[in-house]
Amino acid sequence: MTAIRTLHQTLAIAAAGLALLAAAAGTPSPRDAEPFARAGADAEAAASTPRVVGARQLAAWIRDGEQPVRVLDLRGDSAYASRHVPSAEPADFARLDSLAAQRDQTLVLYSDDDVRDTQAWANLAALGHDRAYVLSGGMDAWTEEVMEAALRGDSADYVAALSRYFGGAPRREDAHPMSAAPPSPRVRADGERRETDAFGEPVRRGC
Amino acid sequence: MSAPLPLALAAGSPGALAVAFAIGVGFGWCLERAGLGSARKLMGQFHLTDLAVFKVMFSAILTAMLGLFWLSRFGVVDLSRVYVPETFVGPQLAGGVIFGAGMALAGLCPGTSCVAAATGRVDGIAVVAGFFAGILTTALALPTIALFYGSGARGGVTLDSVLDTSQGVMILVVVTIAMAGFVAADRIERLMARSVAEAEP
Repeated sequence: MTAIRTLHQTLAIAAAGLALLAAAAGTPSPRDAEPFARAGADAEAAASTPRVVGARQLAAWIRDGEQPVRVLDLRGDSAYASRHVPSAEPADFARLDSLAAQRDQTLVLYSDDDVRDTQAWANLAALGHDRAYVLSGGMDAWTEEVMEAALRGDSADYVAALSRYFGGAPRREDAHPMSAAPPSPRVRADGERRETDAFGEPVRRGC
Repeated sequence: MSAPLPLALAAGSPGALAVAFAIGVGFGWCLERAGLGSARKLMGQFHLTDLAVFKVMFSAILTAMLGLFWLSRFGVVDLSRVYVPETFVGPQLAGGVIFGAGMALAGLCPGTSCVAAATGRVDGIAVVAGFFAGILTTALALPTIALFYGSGARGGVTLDSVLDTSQGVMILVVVTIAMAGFVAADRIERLMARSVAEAEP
Protein backbone atom coordinates (compact mmCIF):
# COMPACT_ATOMS: atom_id res chain seq x y z
CA MET A 1 0.00 0.00 0.00
CA THR A 2 2.85 2.32 0.90
CA ALA A 3 4.60 1.43 -2.37
CA ILE A 4 1.49 2.36 -4.38
CA ARG A 5 1.14 5.64 -2.48
CA THR A 6 4.80 6.41 -3.19
CA LEU A 7 4.24 5.61 -6.88
CA HIS A 8 1.19 7.91 -6.98
CA GLN A 9 3.15 10.71 -5.34
CA THR A 10 6.06 10.25 -7.75
CA LEU A 11 3.75 10.37 -10.77
CA ALA A 12 1.97 13.44 -9.37
CA ILE A 13 5.29 15.23 -8.86
CA ALA A 14 6.40 14.28 -12.39
CA ALA A 15 3.14 15.56 -13.89
CA ALA A 16 3.33 18.79 -11.92
CA GLY A 17 6.95 19.30 -12.98
CA LEU A 18 6.16 18.69 -16.66
CA ALA A 19 3.17 21.06 -16.40
CA LEU A 20 5.30 23.81 -14.85
CA LEU A 21 7.88 23.40 -17.61
CA ALA A 22 5.07 23.44 -20.21
CA ALA A 23 3.77 26.73 -18.77
CA ALA A 24 7.27 28.16 -19.03
CA ALA A 25 7.71 26.85 -22.60
CA GLY A 26 4.31 28.22 -23.65
CA THR A 27 3.97 26.65 -27.07
CA PRO A 28 4.28 23.02 -28.17
CA SER A 29 6.15 24.10 -31.33
CA PRO A 30 9.56 22.44 -31.65
CA ARG A 31 12.39 24.27 -29.87
CA ASP A 32 14.21 25.09 -33.15
CA ALA A 33 11.22 27.14 -34.26
CA GLU A 34 11.15 29.26 -31.07
CA PRO A 35 12.65 32.45 -32.62
CA PHE A 36 9.90 32.29 -35.20
CA ALA A 37 7.14 31.46 -32.74
CA ARG A 38 4.73 34.05 -34.16
CA ALA A 39 5.43 33.04 -37.74
CA GLY A 40 5.05 29.42 -36.67
CA ALA A 41 1.69 30.18 -35.10
CA ASP A 42 0.55 31.91 -38.28
CA ALA A 43 1.76 28.98 -40.37
CA GLU A 44 -0.03 26.59 -38.05
CA ALA A 45 -3.25 28.59 -38.40
CA ALA A 46 -2.82 28.63 -42.18
CA ALA A 47 -2.09 24.91 -42.19
CA SER A 48 -5.33 24.18 -40.34
CA THR A 49 -7.43 26.26 -42.73
CA PRO A 50 -7.86 24.47 -46.03
CA ARG A 51 -7.60 26.28 -49.35
CA VAL A 52 -10.99 26.06 -50.93
CA VAL A 53 -12.28 26.33 -54.45
CA GLY A 54 -15.88 27.11 -55.34
CA ALA A 55 -17.96 24.69 -57.41
CA ARG A 56 -18.22 27.07 -60.39
CA GLN A 57 -14.50 27.79 -60.33
CA LEU A 58 -13.81 24.06 -60.37
CA ALA A 59 -16.29 23.63 -63.23
CA ALA A 60 -14.41 26.30 -65.19
CA TRP A 61 -11.07 24.61 -64.48
CA ILE A 62 -12.37 21.27 -65.76
CA ARG A 63 -14.12 22.76 -68.81
CA ASP A 64 -11.38 25.12 -69.90
CA GLY A 65 -8.51 22.76 -69.17
CA GLU A 66 -6.10 25.64 -68.72
CA GLN A 67 -4.55 23.97 -65.72
CA PRO A 68 -4.68 20.17 -65.38
CA VAL A 69 -6.67 19.29 -62.31
CA ARG A 70 -7.30 15.94 -60.65
CA VAL A 71 -10.55 15.75 -58.74
CA LEU A 72 -10.70 13.19 -55.95
CA ASP A 73 -13.95 11.88 -54.47
CA LEU A 74 -13.46 10.78 -50.84
CA ARG A 75 -17.05 9.69 -50.17
CA GLY A 76 -16.68 5.97 -50.79
CA ASP A 77 -17.51 3.71 -53.71
CA SER A 78 -21.31 3.59 -53.39
CA ALA A 79 -21.69 7.37 -53.13
CA TYR A 80 -19.30 7.76 -56.06
CA ALA A 81 -21.30 5.29 -58.12
CA SER A 82 -24.55 7.17 -57.52
CA ARG A 83 -23.19 10.56 -58.61
CA HIS A 84 -19.90 12.39 -58.77
CA VAL A 85 -18.20 15.44 -60.22
CA PRO A 86 -17.31 14.74 -63.88
CA SER A 87 -13.70 13.53 -64.27
CA ALA A 88 -13.47 12.81 -60.52
CA GLU A 89 -11.73 9.64 -59.39
CA PRO A 90 -12.71 7.65 -56.30
CA ALA A 91 -9.93 7.89 -53.73
CA ASP A 92 -9.14 6.94 -50.16
CA PHE A 93 -6.57 8.15 -47.68
CA ALA A 94 -4.07 5.44 -48.56
CA ARG A 95 -4.10 6.61 -52.19
CA LEU A 96 -3.44 10.21 -51.17
CA ASP A 97 -0.08 9.11 -49.84
CA SER A 98 1.19 8.42 -53.36
CA LEU A 99 -0.48 11.52 -54.80
CA ALA A 100 1.27 13.69 -52.21
CA ALA A 101 4.58 13.01 -53.95
CA GLN A 102 3.31 14.43 -57.26
CA ARG A 103 3.47 18.05 -56.24
CA ASP A 104 3.09 19.53 -59.72
CA GLN A 105 -0.56 18.42 -59.89
CA THR A 106 -3.48 20.52 -58.76
CA LEU A 107 -5.70 18.35 -56.61
CA VAL A 108 -9.29 19.09 -55.61
CA LEU A 109 -10.78 17.00 -52.80
CA TYR A 110 -14.41 16.68 -51.88
CA SER A 111 -16.66 14.66 -49.61
CA ASP A 112 -20.13 14.86 -48.08
CA ASP A 113 -18.97 16.62 -44.94
CA ASP A 114 -16.26 19.08 -44.01
CA VAL A 115 -14.30 16.58 -41.94
CA ARG A 116 -12.94 14.00 -44.34
CA ASP A 117 -11.82 16.38 -47.09
CA THR A 118 -10.33 18.86 -44.61
CA GLN A 119 -8.38 16.10 -42.89
CA ALA A 120 -7.14 14.79 -46.24
CA TRP A 121 -6.13 18.34 -47.24
CA ALA A 122 -4.28 18.84 -43.92
CA ASN A 123 -2.39 15.59 -44.43
CA LEU A 124 -1.38 16.59 -47.96
CA ALA A 125 -0.33 20.05 -46.74
CA ALA A 126 1.71 18.50 -43.94
CA LEU A 127 3.55 16.43 -46.56
CA GLY A 128 4.40 19.59 -48.49
CA HIS A 129 1.76 19.46 -51.25
CA ASP A 130 0.80 23.10 -51.78
CA ARG A 131 -1.54 22.74 -54.78
CA ALA A 132 -4.40 20.94 -53.08
CA TYR A 133 -7.86 22.45 -52.63
CA VAL A 134 -11.07 21.45 -50.92
CA LEU A 135 -14.27 21.83 -52.94
CA SER A 136 -16.28 24.26 -50.81
CA GLY A 137 -19.62 22.69 -49.93
CA GLY A 138 -18.67 19.30 -51.40
CA MET A 139 -20.95 17.35 -53.71
CA ASP A 140 -24.03 19.31 -52.62
CA ALA A 141 -22.44 22.58 -53.75
CA TRP A 142 -21.63 21.03 -57.13
CA THR A 143 -25.28 20.03 -57.55
CA GLU A 144 -26.70 23.37 -56.38
CA GLU A 145 -24.22 25.74 -58.00
CA VAL A 146 -23.47 23.93 -61.25
CA MET A 147 -25.94 21.17 -62.13
CA GLU A 148 -29.05 22.98 -60.86
CA ALA A 149 -27.63 26.48 -60.88
CA ALA A 150 -29.97 29.37 -60.12
CA LEU A 151 -29.49 32.04 -62.77
CA ARG A 152 -29.47 35.66 -61.75
CA GLY A 153 -27.67 38.84 -62.53
CA ASP A 154 -25.06 39.56 -65.17
CA SER A 155 -23.43 36.15 -64.80
CA ALA A 156 -26.56 34.23 -65.79
CA ASP A 157 -25.40 33.40 -69.32
CA TYR A 158 -21.98 32.32 -68.17
CA VAL A 159 -23.41 30.09 -65.42
CA ALA A 160 -26.04 28.63 -67.77
CA ALA A 161 -23.39 27.69 -70.32
CA LEU A 162 -21.20 26.20 -67.63
CA SER A 163 -24.08 24.17 -66.24
CA ARG A 164 -25.17 22.88 -69.67
CA TYR A 165 -21.61 21.87 -70.49
CA PHE A 166 -21.85 19.31 -67.69
CA GLY A 167 -25.40 18.27 -68.61
CA GLY A 168 -27.01 20.39 -65.90
CA ALA A 169 -30.45 22.03 -65.83
CA PRO A 170 -29.96 25.68 -64.84
CA ARG A 171 -33.06 27.58 -63.78
CA ARG A 172 -34.19 31.14 -63.47
CA GLU A 173 -34.71 32.02 -59.82
CA ASP A 174 -38.41 32.61 -60.36
CA ALA A 175 -38.97 30.04 -63.08
CA HIS A 176 -38.74 26.36 -63.92
CA PRO A 177 -35.54 24.66 -65.01
CA MET A 178 -34.50 25.98 -68.36
CA SER A 179 -35.36 23.38 -70.93
CA ALA A 180 -35.78 25.82 -73.77
CA ALA A 181 -33.20 28.25 -75.03
CA PRO A 182 -32.78 31.16 -72.64
CA PRO A 183 -34.06 34.56 -73.68
CA SER A 184 -31.22 36.52 -75.10
CA PRO A 185 -30.11 39.36 -72.86
CA ARG A 186 -30.63 42.90 -73.96
CA VAL A 187 -27.43 44.09 -75.52
CA ARG A 188 -26.74 47.78 -75.60
CA ALA A 189 -25.05 49.53 -78.45
CA ASP A 190 -21.80 49.63 -76.52
CA GLY A 191 -21.95 45.86 -76.08
CA GLU A 192 -22.56 45.94 -72.32
CA ARG A 193 -25.14 43.42 -71.17
CA ARG A 194 -27.74 44.70 -68.77
CA GLU A 195 -30.24 42.66 -66.84
CA THR A 196 -33.74 44.04 -67.27
CA ASP A 197 -36.91 43.63 -65.22
CA ALA A 198 -40.36 42.65 -66.45
CA PHE A 199 -40.91 46.16 -67.79
CA GLY A 200 -37.67 46.31 -69.71
CA GLU A 201 -36.06 48.67 -67.21
CA PRO A 202 -32.48 47.98 -66.12
CA VAL A 203 -32.33 46.22 -62.77
CA ARG A 204 -30.53 48.41 -60.24
CA ARG A 205 -28.19 46.72 -57.82
CA GLY A 206 -26.49 48.10 -54.78
CA CYS A 207 -26.97 51.59 -53.40
CA MET B 1 9.84 9.00 -38.26
CA SER B 2 7.24 11.32 -36.85
CA ALA B 3 3.75 10.68 -35.57
CA PRO B 4 0.91 10.60 -36.48
CA LEU B 5 1.56 7.70 -38.79
CA PRO B 6 2.11 8.26 -42.54
CA LEU B 7 -0.84 8.45 -44.90
CA ALA B 8 -0.28 4.86 -46.01
CA LEU B 9 -1.45 3.86 -42.54
CA ALA B 10 -4.35 6.29 -42.50
CA ALA B 11 -8.03 5.46 -42.30
CA GLY B 12 -9.21 2.30 -43.98
CA SER B 13 -5.91 0.66 -44.89
CA PRO B 14 -5.00 -2.77 -43.45
CA GLY B 15 -2.09 -1.16 -41.57
CA ALA B 16 -4.45 1.35 -39.95
CA LEU B 17 -6.84 -1.41 -38.95
CA ALA B 18 -3.96 -3.40 -37.42
CA VAL B 19 -2.78 -0.35 -35.45
CA ALA B 20 -6.36 0.43 -34.36
CA PHE B 21 -6.85 -3.19 -33.27
CA ALA B 22 -3.63 -3.16 -31.22
CA ILE B 23 -4.57 0.16 -29.56
CA GLY B 24 -8.08 -1.15 -28.88
CA VAL B 25 -6.79 -4.32 -27.22
CA GLY B 26 -4.36 -2.27 -25.11
CA PHE B 27 -7.09 0.19 -24.12
CA GLY B 28 -9.49 -2.63 -23.25
CA TRP B 29 -6.83 -4.38 -21.16
CA CYS B 30 -6.20 -1.18 -19.20
CA LEU B 31 -9.94 -0.67 -18.60
CA GLU B 32 -10.34 -4.25 -17.38
CA ARG B 33 -7.27 -4.02 -15.14
CA ALA B 34 -8.70 -0.80 -13.64
CA GLY B 35 -11.89 -2.72 -12.86
CA LEU B 36 -14.04 -0.60 -15.16
CA GLY B 37 -15.56 -3.60 -16.91
CA SER B 38 -17.89 -3.92 -13.91
CA ALA B 39 -21.03 -1.80 -13.77
CA ARG B 40 -20.69 -1.74 -9.95
CA LYS B 41 -17.49 0.27 -10.35
CA LEU B 42 -19.20 2.89 -12.47
CA MET B 43 -22.22 3.06 -10.19
CA GLY B 44 -19.82 3.72 -7.31
CA GLN B 45 -18.94 6.90 -9.17
CA PHE B 46 -22.54 8.13 -9.04
CA HIS B 47 -22.89 7.13 -5.35
CA LEU B 48 -19.51 8.79 -4.56
CA THR B 49 -18.28 5.58 -2.91
CA ASP B 50 -15.69 4.70 -5.58
CA LEU B 51 -14.24 7.46 -7.75
CA ALA B 52 -11.87 5.21 -9.73
CA VAL B 53 -13.52 6.20 -13.04
CA PHE B 54 -12.82 9.87 -12.43
CA LYS B 55 -9.21 9.09 -11.48
CA VAL B 56 -8.56 6.77 -14.43
CA MET B 57 -10.11 9.13 -16.98
CA PHE B 58 -8.39 12.24 -15.66
CA SER B 59 -5.05 10.35 -15.47
CA ALA B 60 -5.51 9.40 -19.14
CA ILE B 61 -6.25 13.04 -20.05
CA LEU B 62 -3.15 14.27 -18.23
CA THR B 63 -0.95 11.59 -19.80
CA ALA B 64 -2.18 12.34 -23.34
CA MET B 65 -2.02 16.10 -22.82
CA LEU B 66 1.50 16.18 -21.40
CA GLY B 67 2.65 13.51 -23.87
CA LEU B 68 1.37 15.38 -26.93
CA PHE B 69 2.80 18.70 -25.73
CA TRP B 70 6.30 17.41 -25.03
CA LEU B 71 6.47 15.01 -27.98
CA SER B 72 5.55 17.96 -30.22
CA ARG B 73 8.07 20.15 -28.44
CA PHE B 74 10.81 17.62 -29.24
CA GLY B 75 9.67 17.29 -32.86
CA VAL B 76 8.34 13.72 -32.59
CA VAL B 77 4.62 14.52 -33.09
CA ASP B 78 3.32 16.91 -35.72
CA LEU B 79 0.34 18.55 -34.00
CA SER B 80 -0.88 20.11 -37.25
CA ARG B 81 -1.83 16.59 -38.33
CA VAL B 82 -3.81 15.86 -35.18
CA TYR B 83 -7.47 16.47 -35.90
CA VAL B 84 -9.36 18.60 -33.37
CA PRO B 85 -13.01 17.48 -33.37
CA GLU B 86 -15.39 20.30 -34.19
CA THR B 87 -17.78 21.78 -31.64
CA PHE B 88 -21.55 21.79 -32.26
CA VAL B 89 -23.01 23.32 -29.09
CA GLY B 90 -26.66 22.22 -29.13
CA PRO B 91 -26.23 18.76 -30.66
CA GLN B 92 -23.34 17.93 -28.33
CA LEU B 93 -25.30 19.11 -25.27
CA ALA B 94 -28.19 16.89 -26.32
CA GLY B 95 -25.79 14.03 -27.02
CA GLY B 96 -24.20 14.51 -23.60
CA VAL B 97 -27.56 14.29 -21.85
CA ILE B 98 -28.51 11.11 -23.75
CA PHE B 99 -25.06 9.62 -23.18
CA GLY B 100 -25.14 10.47 -19.46
CA ALA B 101 -28.63 9.04 -19.01
CA GLY B 102 -27.60 5.81 -20.76
CA MET B 103 -24.42 5.59 -18.70
CA ALA B 104 -26.29 6.04 -15.40
CA LEU B 105 -28.92 3.54 -16.49
CA ALA B 106 -26.51 0.84 -17.70
CA GLY B 107 -23.53 1.51 -15.44
CA LEU B 108 -21.32 1.23 -18.51
CA CYS B 109 -20.05 3.53 -21.26
CA PRO B 110 -19.19 2.39 -24.83
CA GLY B 111 -15.59 1.45 -23.99
CA THR B 112 -16.33 -0.34 -20.75
CA SER B 113 -19.37 -2.09 -22.24
CA CYS B 114 -17.12 -3.61 -24.93
CA VAL B 115 -14.75 -4.77 -22.19
CA ALA B 116 -17.67 -6.16 -20.19
CA ALA B 117 -19.03 -7.95 -23.28
CA ALA B 118 -15.59 -9.35 -24.13
CA THR B 119 -15.30 -10.81 -20.64
CA GLY B 120 -18.71 -12.46 -20.97
CA ARG B 121 -20.83 -10.19 -18.78
CA VAL B 122 -24.46 -10.29 -19.95
CA ASP B 123 -25.12 -6.64 -19.06
CA GLY B 124 -22.14 -5.65 -21.24
CA ILE B 125 -23.54 -7.58 -24.22
CA ALA B 126 -26.95 -5.92 -23.69
CA VAL B 127 -25.39 -2.44 -23.63
CA VAL B 128 -23.35 -3.12 -26.79
CA ALA B 129 -26.54 -4.26 -28.53
CA GLY B 130 -28.24 -1.12 -27.21
CA PHE B 131 -25.72 1.30 -28.57
CA PHE B 132 -25.66 -0.40 -31.97
CA ALA B 133 -29.45 0.02 -31.99
CA GLY B 134 -28.92 3.69 -31.08
CA ILE B 135 -26.42 4.17 -33.91
CA LEU B 136 -28.82 2.58 -36.40
CA THR B 137 -31.77 4.66 -35.16
CA THR B 138 -29.75 7.88 -35.36
CA ALA B 139 -28.60 7.04 -38.89
CA LEU B 140 -32.17 6.37 -40.01
CA ALA B 141 -33.43 9.57 -38.34
CA LEU B 142 -30.59 11.71 -39.66
CA PRO B 143 -32.53 13.23 -42.60
CA THR B 144 -35.20 14.39 -40.11
CA ILE B 145 -32.77 15.88 -37.58
CA ALA B 146 -30.16 17.07 -40.10
CA LEU B 147 -30.83 20.76 -39.37
CA PHE B 148 -30.31 20.32 -35.63
CA TYR B 149 -27.39 17.90 -36.20
CA GLY B 150 -25.33 20.61 -37.91
CA SER B 151 -26.44 23.54 -35.76
CA GLY B 152 -24.28 25.61 -33.40
CA ALA B 153 -21.04 24.92 -35.29
CA ARG B 154 -18.05 26.59 -33.64
CA GLY B 155 -15.20 24.83 -35.48
CA GLY B 156 -12.26 23.19 -33.73
CA VAL B 157 -12.33 24.99 -30.37
CA THR B 158 -9.55 24.53 -27.80
CA LEU B 159 -9.46 25.81 -24.21
CA ASP B 160 -6.34 27.92 -24.75
CA SER B 161 -7.92 29.74 -27.71
CA VAL B 162 -11.16 30.43 -25.81
CA LEU B 163 -9.29 31.74 -22.74
CA ASP B 164 -6.68 33.51 -24.89
CA THR B 165 -3.70 31.94 -23.16
CA SER B 166 -0.82 29.70 -24.20
CA GLN B 167 -1.21 25.93 -24.41
CA GLY B 168 1.51 25.53 -21.77
CA VAL B 169 -0.35 27.67 -19.23
CA MET B 170 -3.58 25.83 -20.02
CA ILE B 171 -1.81 22.52 -19.31
CA LEU B 172 -0.68 23.82 -15.92
CA VAL B 173 -4.26 24.89 -15.11
CA VAL B 174 -5.70 21.48 -16.09
CA VAL B 175 -3.01 19.57 -14.17
CA THR B 176 -3.65 21.73 -11.07
CA ILE B 177 -7.41 21.08 -11.31
CA ALA B 178 -6.77 17.35 -11.74
CA MET B 179 -4.45 17.20 -8.70
CA ALA B 180 -7.01 19.02 -6.57
CA GLY B 181 -9.65 16.65 -7.93
CA PHE B 182 -7.59 13.56 -7.01
CA VAL B 183 -7.09 14.81 -3.43
CA ALA B 184 -10.79 15.70 -3.14
CA ALA B 185 -11.79 12.30 -4.57
CA ASP B 186 -9.68 10.49 -1.94
CA ARG B 187 -11.29 12.47 0.88
CA ILE B 188 -14.81 11.92 -0.48
CA GLU B 189 -14.19 8.17 -0.74
CA ARG B 190 -12.94 8.05 2.88
CA LEU B 191 -15.91 10.09 4.11
CA MET B 192 -18.40 7.89 2.26
CA ALA B 193 -16.72 4.69 3.52
CA ARG B 194 -16.96 6.01 7.10
CA SER B 195 -20.63 6.97 6.75
CA VAL B 196 -21.45 3.58 5.17
CA ALA B 197 -19.65 1.82 8.04
CA GLU B 198 -21.57 3.87 10.62
CA ALA B 199 -24.89 3.18 8.93
CA GLU B 200 -24.35 -0.60 9.02
CA PRO B 201 -25.83 -2.31 12.10
